[in-house]
Amino acid sequence: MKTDNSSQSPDFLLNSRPVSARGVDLQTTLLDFIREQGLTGAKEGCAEGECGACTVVLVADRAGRSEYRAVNSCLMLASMAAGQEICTVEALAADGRLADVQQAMASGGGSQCGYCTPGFVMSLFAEHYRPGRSGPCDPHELGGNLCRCTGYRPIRDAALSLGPAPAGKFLDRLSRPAPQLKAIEYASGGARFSRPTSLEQCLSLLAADPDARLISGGTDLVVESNLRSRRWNHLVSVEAIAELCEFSESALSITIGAALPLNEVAMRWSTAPEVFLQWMRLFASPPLRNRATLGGNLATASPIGDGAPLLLALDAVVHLASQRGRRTIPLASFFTGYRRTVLASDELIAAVEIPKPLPEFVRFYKVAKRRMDDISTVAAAMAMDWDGAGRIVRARFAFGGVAPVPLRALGAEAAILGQRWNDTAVERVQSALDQTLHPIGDHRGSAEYRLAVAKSLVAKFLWERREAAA
Amino acid sequence: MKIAGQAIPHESAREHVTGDALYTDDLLLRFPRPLHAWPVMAPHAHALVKALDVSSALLEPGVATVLTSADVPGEGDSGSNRRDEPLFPTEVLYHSQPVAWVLGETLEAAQRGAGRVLVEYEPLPAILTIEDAIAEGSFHSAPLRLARGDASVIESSPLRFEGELKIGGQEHFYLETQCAIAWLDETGGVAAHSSTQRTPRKHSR
Repeated sequence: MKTDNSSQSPDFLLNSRPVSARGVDLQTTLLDFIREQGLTGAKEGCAEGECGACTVVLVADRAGRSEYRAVNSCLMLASMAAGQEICTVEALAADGRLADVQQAMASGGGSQCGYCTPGFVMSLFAEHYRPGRSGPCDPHELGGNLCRCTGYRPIRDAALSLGPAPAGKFLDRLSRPAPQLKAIEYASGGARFSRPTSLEQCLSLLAADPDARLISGGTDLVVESNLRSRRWNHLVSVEAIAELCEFSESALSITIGAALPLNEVAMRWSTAPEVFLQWMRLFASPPLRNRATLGGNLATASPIGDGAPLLLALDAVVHLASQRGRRTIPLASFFTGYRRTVLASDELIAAVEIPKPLPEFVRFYKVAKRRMDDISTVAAAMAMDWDGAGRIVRARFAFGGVAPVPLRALGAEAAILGQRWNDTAVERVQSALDQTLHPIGDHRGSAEYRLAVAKSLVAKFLWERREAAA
Repeated sequence: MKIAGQAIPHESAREHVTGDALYTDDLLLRFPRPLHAWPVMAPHAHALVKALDVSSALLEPGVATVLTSADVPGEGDSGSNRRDEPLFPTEVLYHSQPVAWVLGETLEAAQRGAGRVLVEYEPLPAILTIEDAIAEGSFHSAPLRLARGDASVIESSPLRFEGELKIGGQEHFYLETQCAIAWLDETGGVAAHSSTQRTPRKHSR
């Protein structure tokens, strides 16, 4: 890869046709780009990855097999599509014949105003062609698509009515490998987009340009641009760096590459406990999980990010890398203030490591205005281990949404060591939380509400333990 | 012919599932070099607009003009029934209410221009909750009373159950974003596509 300013062209395949995003501004989204090509099926509803009206699919690798992966095109920059194969709703029907997913949605009454429909169709298309799928399509894969008029019943029925994906060009495409992302260095209007393929190149880019901003899936950063007109001089994408997309499990720990999309983590961690899968479902919708990464979620350091609480409860550490060297930091010391971390400007998160054995009993709770596809008002993760006599030997209470940073309630943890996990212990934890948690009040919930929720979740953790033990 | 029980797609279903159905923003490609409008939004829930200075915005590259009340010879109100939706309000009644509109050669230019319009506000006390509004006697419209029979007997009933009910109802919030395309047509009039459900509502006097 060149690190001078010679600009390459972000070219990709759009419905099997080569297109070039050369000349587009850095902040131009893939959605805007494809709409400017005349493909207006994908719509802008929210521009922040909540509604799914902009859903398109790209051909991606999933453990050596190709799959169609639904993504929010409003949260991908056009330059990030370089080298990808992207398919929009316009590609599905051929010779006047609707694709199965389209036919199912049309005959099942799955549209009313129709604005959200192309997005639903594309999410359903990805699910219809999911390699290894047996039985009907899973309606949960439509969790990233909002409909405001029809209601979800007919859409769900359409999903449940679909059988195996039919033979033809779409299935044929999956028998060949997915595109492998190459390095790209693109400049437009004074702004730069770099996508290195090695960690070394990436760290050298960061060292050379203190202004460079890291990006992976774009599910957080692109929202800042879409809704708050944030502009960047230089984005460095970590998406194509294999070293940051590794997953490994040993007898001692689980190591998750910082740039591995959440859905891939879930797929690769085959021995993951149920709490992990539940956490994933609550974390974000399927199209967001297809792009979002743990590295991004931690580095953006939002106090209401859903990544930190569970990882804090699991005693995770983060591996940081820069040209100056590597260091390992406990996640509990990673956040230094509101949206601030220990990361230096030339440094990135390379991986997150979770020590083994995992705690005996772990729960993750997310309280938000909607059950799914929403931002946390309060998130909590709790973990506990006992000795043979039922006395607590390790307790972890980690929270999001109750302080400027995601935090562990160390006082609460210490207050119950050596005791039994019962109503008295819950009260001790709750009084400790009164001292530790200092939530703010905002449109998601008042300070009093947040504190009350956090405390009541501790009681829930006891009830669930009793249920599990019974 | 048996009709009952048959799945009959509605008249737009095919266009919806193929993405062929066109919405207002999808029509933009039919208009070469359109100007994009972006609102200047008030950062107060309740305020008076004391002064509005567009001169810096006009210097922004790509900004064509800034529309203010001076550009509307008529009433300048887009409210269909109550006439309470001034296009260019002198009194701001909700947070982010548009007070002026910037026209730019690109959306980006219009947005940048909107950031450079200087507006002087005099913030006024705002009523933000239903309870406060009732206490202040501030009602959106005249109270609506539904009555049947003699309700006064409730007062003398031996057993009464009292309580309050809050209904979180809201207007149907369809996904299509608010947008409109307007152009001078062949008659010299203004024609418009709008993502509204009733085009007559968009006629301004």
